[in-house]
Amino acid sequence: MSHVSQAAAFMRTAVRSLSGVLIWGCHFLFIYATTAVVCARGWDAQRWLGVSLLPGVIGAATVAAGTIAGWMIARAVRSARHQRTQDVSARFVDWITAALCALALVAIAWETLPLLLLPNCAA
Amino acid sequence: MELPNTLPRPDDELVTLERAWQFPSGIRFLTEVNNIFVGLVYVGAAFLFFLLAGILALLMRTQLAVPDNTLLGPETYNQVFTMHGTIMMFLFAIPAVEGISVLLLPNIQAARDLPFPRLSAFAFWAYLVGGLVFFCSLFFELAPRGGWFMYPPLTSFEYDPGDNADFWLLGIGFIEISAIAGAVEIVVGVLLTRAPGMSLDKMPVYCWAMLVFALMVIFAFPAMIAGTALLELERSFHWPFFVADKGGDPVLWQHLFWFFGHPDVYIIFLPAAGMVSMILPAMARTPLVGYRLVVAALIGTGFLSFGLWVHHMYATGMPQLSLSYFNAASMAVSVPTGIQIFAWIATIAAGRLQFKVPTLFILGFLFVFVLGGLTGVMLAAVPFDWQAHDTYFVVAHLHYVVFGGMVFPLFAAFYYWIPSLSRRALSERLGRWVFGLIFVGFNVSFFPMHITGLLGMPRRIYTYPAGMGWDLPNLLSTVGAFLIAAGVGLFLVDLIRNLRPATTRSIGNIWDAGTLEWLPNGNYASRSIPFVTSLEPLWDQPNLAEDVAAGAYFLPGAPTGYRETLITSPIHARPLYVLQMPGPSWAALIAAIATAAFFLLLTIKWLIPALFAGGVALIMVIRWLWTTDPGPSQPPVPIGCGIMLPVYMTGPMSHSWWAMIVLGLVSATMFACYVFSYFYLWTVSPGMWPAEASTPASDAEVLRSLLCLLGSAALLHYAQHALASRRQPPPRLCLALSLAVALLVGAFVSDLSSHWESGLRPTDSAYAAIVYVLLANQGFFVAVVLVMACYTIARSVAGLLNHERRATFDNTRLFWLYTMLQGLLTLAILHGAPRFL
Repeated sequence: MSHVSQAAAFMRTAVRSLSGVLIWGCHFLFIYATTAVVCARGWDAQRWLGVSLLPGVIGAATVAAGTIAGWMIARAVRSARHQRTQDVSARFVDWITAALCALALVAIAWETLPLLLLPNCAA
Repeated sequence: MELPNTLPRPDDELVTLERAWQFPSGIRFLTEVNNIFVGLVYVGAAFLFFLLAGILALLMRTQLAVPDNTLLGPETYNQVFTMHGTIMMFLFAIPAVEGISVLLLPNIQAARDLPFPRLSAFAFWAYLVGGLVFFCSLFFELAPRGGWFMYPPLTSFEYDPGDNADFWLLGIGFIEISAIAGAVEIVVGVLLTRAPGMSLDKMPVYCWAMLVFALMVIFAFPAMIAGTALLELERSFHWPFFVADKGGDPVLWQHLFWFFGHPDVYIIFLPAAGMVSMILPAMARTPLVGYRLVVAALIGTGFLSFGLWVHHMYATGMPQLSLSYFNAASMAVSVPTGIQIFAWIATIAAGRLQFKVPTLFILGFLFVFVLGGLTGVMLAAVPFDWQAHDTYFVVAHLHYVVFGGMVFPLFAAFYYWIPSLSRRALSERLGRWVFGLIFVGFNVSFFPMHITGLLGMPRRIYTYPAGMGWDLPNLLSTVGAFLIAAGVGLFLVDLIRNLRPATTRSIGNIWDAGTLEWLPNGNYASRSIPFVTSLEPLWDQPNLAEDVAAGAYFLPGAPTGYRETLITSPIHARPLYVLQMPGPSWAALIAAIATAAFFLLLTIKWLIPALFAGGVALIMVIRWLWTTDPGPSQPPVPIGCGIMLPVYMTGPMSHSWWAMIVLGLVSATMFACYVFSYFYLWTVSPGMWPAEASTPASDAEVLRSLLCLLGSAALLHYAQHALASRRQPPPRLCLALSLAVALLVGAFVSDLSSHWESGLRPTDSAYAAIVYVLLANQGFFVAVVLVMACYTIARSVAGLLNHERRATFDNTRLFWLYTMLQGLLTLAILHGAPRFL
């Protein structure tokens, strides 16, 4: 394996194994920034197809993030089963990928829960 | 298994190895860069600052022992509590964990040293010199007094004139540089200098913890640098980032500070957790339960800790929904932390625990840290925080977390690892007294603070009246503080009596531990570098220590005659090349002292001496670097098993390439913080932003800057091809680089002048100030590229650059590419945002 492809393989492994927490990071920043801008601009009263702007956008982002994290878990578990007797390092990476995606799912679910319990922009 | 090298080894092999790694004698001893020397003095210096900050704590506790005390006046008290927090966080905790990693990490990975030993030495000396001068500001009434988080407007020019706050803002600049330099070293060290066979699944938990730690430093510290830059610019030049009348917002500082400050707690805790995961299996004589879960928990904690910063800002009036995101993230981070705690408890249950001093400190850590974590979950709940905010309850919580989570494991580490570095172990009898005094003293001191906090005592008051119900708990806290001091004093006695540093003839593996730092070693670490097949090689590979010491494994000598270590691939740890390492150097030492002097002289506004010190630092760095790109001067060397490895590497698997990538991440994070500040200020005061018709530059001016940047990129690309295609770099390589850097400078000057000529001045408004900060940031990077380009051209002219010897060019090119990308984004934000927002 050339040095360029070794470095590329490492980058792929790093991104894949961290995919769960990266998805969480993107989701977290998105919901925080969206809430900040919508509340600062007073756009929280706007509705689209009968749904309030903030719950609609954040709900959609949560469904997307959760779906991707769930898909990554399924993919990692499948890969780990396939690797059972082969590359131990690859199985380790699959395991870490699945564990971090599961943690991300918990964090994403908890962070979205307040949307159902609190008014949109009340201080 | 057949060993890589036959025994016995030739007689002269060990002699050559010892000669290469010999410490210089006399005054030149100070120039040593070996990790054992630098690590020991690093930890020693951090402990010195722990003692100094501890004395400040005793002063505070004496002042608060009784009501209406007059030992310290309010002004002095403000300086004392500010310095206590600042020193504990910046000069003790972070340097202590970095110092221990410099000392231990290479041995745990069976590397001969970390990949950039002069960088470690630079980081240490800058920290020591700068830290001592910073501490001395107390004796001249110049110490900062705004608390360790320095909130404006209290710390801005209006309410805190004079140099006190500047000492904090500029004076700890060297700490930030030092921490980031250490983080670069650790990331590259963990990924590329592990023993062959130590693939990711066999990497000790401490290495994982330090990798996560270093990545957190890389993403957290730039926010601190960005914040201090903004506050210093406001103080010195009245650029109004935090002045509400001009569209600024003091809460912006809190965002930047806590984006650093909250992860900082985990930056301190995770290395300590890594130490616990190393010590506990040895003490319980069983492998760590749930290794994979613990690794996932470390990574998860590192990431989630970046989503908690607002839980220090619940009282700032943000929307409840926003606060609740951070409340939920604070709950989520307790999941991976809990996983680690249960893994440690399960390890204790699975093994046969030896009740030695390291074990006692770890049990103390578990008790204290879990209590701190529980009060952390309480404070993360918004309604409770609103009641307890800024009271002594918070002081109790943070000490339970930080002292419990870091200081207890640190003492465990001292008692556990000192036998690997000293001819004598520390005393078991004295150690039990040390633990008892510190554990009892800690709880007597800090548990009552929960009560005083719930009774309403605010933090940071220099005295209080009698009859508030605070008298007894405060007196108890003071008694406890002196008990801690007695424990620490006894520990010093133990150190003086028993610590006898020795790189050879240390007492060795008295715990029968399974990891590689317990291999017999010398200045060069282990005699040969083992092939690793499990997480606890000394338990699972028979005769490993004897075979390693006899030179039966890889790289048993110094085939090039210089200091060397093996570079291995980041996933599977397969040998890639032999890295020739730089030896002792005055240049790194002088550069460090000059860097500290630059920041400190700048603090007291001695501009000419500061510039002189900065110039000296730059020259010394260039002097130090000049010899570090030797090229393929030697043929490949044998390391064992018939493997021949090159001694020089360029491209994506070279250690310097990885360091530049990490530096790029640091730079990008700092840029992201400025961009965040830009858009944050826009949400706060959109009225300050220009209407589309009055944007500061015309389309033609923007196009001019854009073309300059693209032209620079094209010329850099041409230079790369010119270097690759010729044995000797042609004059046109130098010409291309000169033109490329001229275009880069031109793009910056063009953009700066278009803003200046439009009449926009940085003191006008928060908008104008943040625009000029983005420009100044780009200007700084362009200046660095200018220096790097001149250096590269100089090496080319000196005949030290060709198609094989090209690491210097590759590094310059990587930094250059980043600067151009940042320039394009700066251009897009400065000219695009006012048109579209």
